[in-house]
Amino acid sequence: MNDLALLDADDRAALAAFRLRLGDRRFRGRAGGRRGHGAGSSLEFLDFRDYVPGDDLRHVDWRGYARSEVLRVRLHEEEVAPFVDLVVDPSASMAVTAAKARAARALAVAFAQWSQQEGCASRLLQLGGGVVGPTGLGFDETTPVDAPAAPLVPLRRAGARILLTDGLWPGDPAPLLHTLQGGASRFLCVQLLDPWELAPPVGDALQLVDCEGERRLELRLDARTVAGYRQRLQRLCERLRTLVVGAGGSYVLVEAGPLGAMASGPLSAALVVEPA
Amino acid sequence: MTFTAPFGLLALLAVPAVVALHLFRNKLPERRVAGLFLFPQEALLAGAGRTRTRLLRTPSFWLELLAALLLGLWLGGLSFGGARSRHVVVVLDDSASMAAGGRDRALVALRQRLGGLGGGDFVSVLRTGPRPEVLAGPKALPHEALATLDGWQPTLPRHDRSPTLDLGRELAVGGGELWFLTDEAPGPGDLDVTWLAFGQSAANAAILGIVREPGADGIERVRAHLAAFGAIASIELVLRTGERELQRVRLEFADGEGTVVVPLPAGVDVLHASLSADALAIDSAAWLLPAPVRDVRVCDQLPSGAADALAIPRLLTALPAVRNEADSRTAQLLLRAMPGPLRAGQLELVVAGDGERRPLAGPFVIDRAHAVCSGLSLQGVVFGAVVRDLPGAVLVAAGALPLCTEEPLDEGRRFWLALDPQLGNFARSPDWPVLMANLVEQAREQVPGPLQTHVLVGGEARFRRGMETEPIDPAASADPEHQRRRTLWLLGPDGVRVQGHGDRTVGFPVRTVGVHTVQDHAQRPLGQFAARFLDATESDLRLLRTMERAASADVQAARQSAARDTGWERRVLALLLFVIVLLDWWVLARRDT
Repeated sequence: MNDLALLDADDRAALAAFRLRLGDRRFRGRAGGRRGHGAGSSLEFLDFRDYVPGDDLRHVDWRGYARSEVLRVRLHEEEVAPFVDLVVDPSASMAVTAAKARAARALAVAFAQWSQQEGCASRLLQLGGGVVGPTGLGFDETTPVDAPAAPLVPLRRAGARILLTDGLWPGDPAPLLHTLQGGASRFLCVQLLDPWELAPPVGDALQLVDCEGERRLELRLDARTVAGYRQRLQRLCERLRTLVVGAGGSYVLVEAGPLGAMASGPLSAALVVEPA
Repeated sequence: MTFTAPFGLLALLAVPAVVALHLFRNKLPERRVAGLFLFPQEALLAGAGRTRTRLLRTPSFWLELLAALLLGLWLGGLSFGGARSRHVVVVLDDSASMAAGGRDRALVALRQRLGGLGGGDFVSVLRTGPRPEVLAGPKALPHEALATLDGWQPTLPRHDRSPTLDLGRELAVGGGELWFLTDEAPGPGDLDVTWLAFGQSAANAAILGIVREPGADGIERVRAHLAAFGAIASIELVLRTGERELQRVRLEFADGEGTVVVPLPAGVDVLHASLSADALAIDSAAWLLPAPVRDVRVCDQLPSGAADALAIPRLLTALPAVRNEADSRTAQLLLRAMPGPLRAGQLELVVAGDGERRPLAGPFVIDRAHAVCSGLSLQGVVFGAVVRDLPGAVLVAAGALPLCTEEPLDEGRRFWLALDPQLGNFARSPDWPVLMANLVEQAREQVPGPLQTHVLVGGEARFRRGMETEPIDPAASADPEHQRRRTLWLLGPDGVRVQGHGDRTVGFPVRTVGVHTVQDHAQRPLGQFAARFLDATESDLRLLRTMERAASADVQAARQSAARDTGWERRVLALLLFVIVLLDWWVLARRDT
C-alpha cells in the first residue's frame, strides 16, 4: 500500500507544499547530497594532508608541490544522504481522539516523505518496538507505563532523529530522551496534543477514562479543576522541552489538526519545515 | 396564595427525590483521555462500594429540581389570592312590601357587601317578578352592578320568587354565591341561598278597592274599600283632582276594614285618592279615570227594505254607545246584503236574502258557546230562512239547514245570516236585538283605545290600535319606517317610556302606580291608563323580619372549592413544566453527544 494513500487530498497537498529543514549539521550516511563528517568526493574543498602512497594522484596539489616540493593531497568534503530515524510513540494515547490519531498518522507519513524528498534514508520506528511501515502504525499500545522505552532496534549514529509523541507519561522522560538524543546529529521532538487536551472546556461533568488502562475518574471540570490540569500539563511540556533543548535538540508543540495547519503553523515556526 | 388540592403537594417529595437521584447517580458521560494523571484527584466518585457522590449542580439538576417543584405546585392546585374570582348573584325581592323601608336597608347592606368585593369579582343582579329580570350582568363588575341599584323600586304584588332563584342558581353555577334580599323569613327550603331579610314589622292601611260609580240620580260617587293591617284605628282618605282637593274623609276601622262612599262633583277628570301617610305608600294611593268613550261605529249598507224590516235605525238608537257611520272604512260593524271588502278588525253581517225561502219554526240548534249566540233562545220564532249554502262554521241551524255561520277570513270577521226579514217573525222577536247587541259588543273590542283604563301594577295595560294604522299593503308592514311609525309607547308617571308589544292590541307591562299615557311615535297622546297597587298580602307588613341566614356549610364548601379559578395558574405551571422538561431533554441530549 502506498504511504500517500494514508493521507487525504488536503494533506497530500500540504505534504507537497513543504520540505524538511535539516539545517547545516553534518550527518553520516550513504553517499548523498548533504555534507558529511569526513572527506569525500564533492567539489567543496575541505583541507590538505600529506601524501601517502596509494592516494589518488589526481588529488595531489601539484601547484603546491612546485612551490614547496612537498607532496600534499587536496581533500574535498564528503556528501552523504543522512539517516533519519522517525520514532513514533505507539501508545493508545496518540489515538485518544480521531483528530489526534489522524494528525499523528499524517505527521509520521509526512516526515517520512519529506525525509525521502531530502534524499535521506528514513525509517520508522516505534518506541519500545522495531521498524514498521507507515501502514503498520497502530497506536494500540495500552499497557500503562511510567515512560515508554526506546526502540528495540539500535538507532543509527550521526543521523537525524525525530520523536513524535504526546509526552503524556507520568514518569520522567529524561532516560528516554537521553537514549534517543545520544549520537544523533539532529534531534527533533514533536509533541502532539489534541485541542481538548490543551484546553478542556469548563463546565462539563465527565467520567474520564484512561485510554491506556481502565482507570476512571469522575470529575466536574469547573474552572479550578481545568486550571489545575492546564498547569500540570504546562509543567510537563516545559520539562520535555527543557530536556530536549538542553541536549541540543529541537522541540515543538503541535496541536492536532490538518497537516497543512500543523506544517504552516508550529512546524514552520520551529523551523522544522519550510515551504518547498 | 392557597392550594385547592393540598394533597397534591405530596408531589413536592419529588424535589428531594431528584436531589437523591443526583447524589446517587452512577453515570456520567464518558471521555477517554491520555493524561488522566494530570487531572486533580478530587474524584466525585470516591471508589468502589460507595455510590454517594458530591452533588453536581449541573443545569440538568436545576431543571429537574424546578420541574419537580412545578409539578408539586401544579398538582397542589396553586391559587393566588388575587386570582380567585367571586361571582355573587344578587336576587332582589321586587314585592311591594320591600318599599316599606326594606329596600333602603337592603341597599345599604348590599352596597357595603359589594364594596368589599375585589376588582376581579363579578356580580349579577336579578329582580324577581312573574318573569325574572336581569338588572346587571350576568357577571357585571361590582361598580356596574351598584350603579343599577338606584333604579330598583319594588312595586309588584306577591309573586312566586322561585323562577328568579332558579335563574340565579343557574348563573351561580361554578362556585357563585346566591344572595336573596327580601323582607321575610325564609322557609324550610332554599338552603343554598344566603337569605338576607331587611323587613320590619309595621302597621299599614291600604286601599283594597276603589271605583267611580255613576249614580241613578246622576251624581257620580266614589266607593272605596279600605283595610288596616295592624294597630290603626282610623285613617283619612283624601280625594283630589289635579291640585284641587275635593274631599277629606276619616274612616274608623271596624274589624280592620271599612268602606267609604263619597259623592263627586260633576266634571271630575282624573281623580286621585290617597290615604294619610303610613308604612307603605304604594297601596295608599289610587287614580281613577272617567269611563272611556268606546262608541261602536256601525255602517248600514242593507237595502232599505231589509233595513226597515230589521228595524236597524231603531236598534242603533237603542243600543248603548253605538254610532251610525257612513264610511265603511272606519266602521267597526258593517251590515250588508252581499259580502264586501273588509279591513282588519272589521266585523260584517251579511243578511243573505237570495234563494228559496222557507219559514222554519224550529227546532233550532244554537252554538251557545259562541259569544255572538249568547242569550239567543229562538223560542217561538218562525225563522224566514233562505235555503242556501253558507260558508264557515255554523252557529245556528235548523236541521241540516244553516241559518247563521261565521266565515273565517284573513282580515276581519264575517257572519252570514240566511234570513228573509219579511218572512217569519225573527226580526220582531227579542232574539234579533240580542244578536245585534252581541255583534256590537264583538265589534266594540275593535274600538281604538284602552281596553281597560284601570289596571293593577304587575299586570298589563292593553291598548287597541286604530284601524287607520293598519297597513293597506301587507308587504309594507315589514318596512322598518312603517314599524317605527306604528310603535306605541307608554309614558309612566315617573317619565319612563316603555315600548308596547303586539299587533292589533298592544300590551304594556305596568310596574308603577299612577296615570300612564299611551303615545304614538310622535309622542301624541292616544289614551290613558290608571295603575294602582292591590295585594292585601303585600300590604300586611306585620310578618316582616330582619335576619340573615347563610347558605348551608356543604353548599359553601362546594362553592368555595369550585369558585377558585386556578385555571390560569395551572396553565402557566403546565407550560413552564413542559418548557423545562424540553430544556432538560435538550441539555441531556447535548451532553450525551
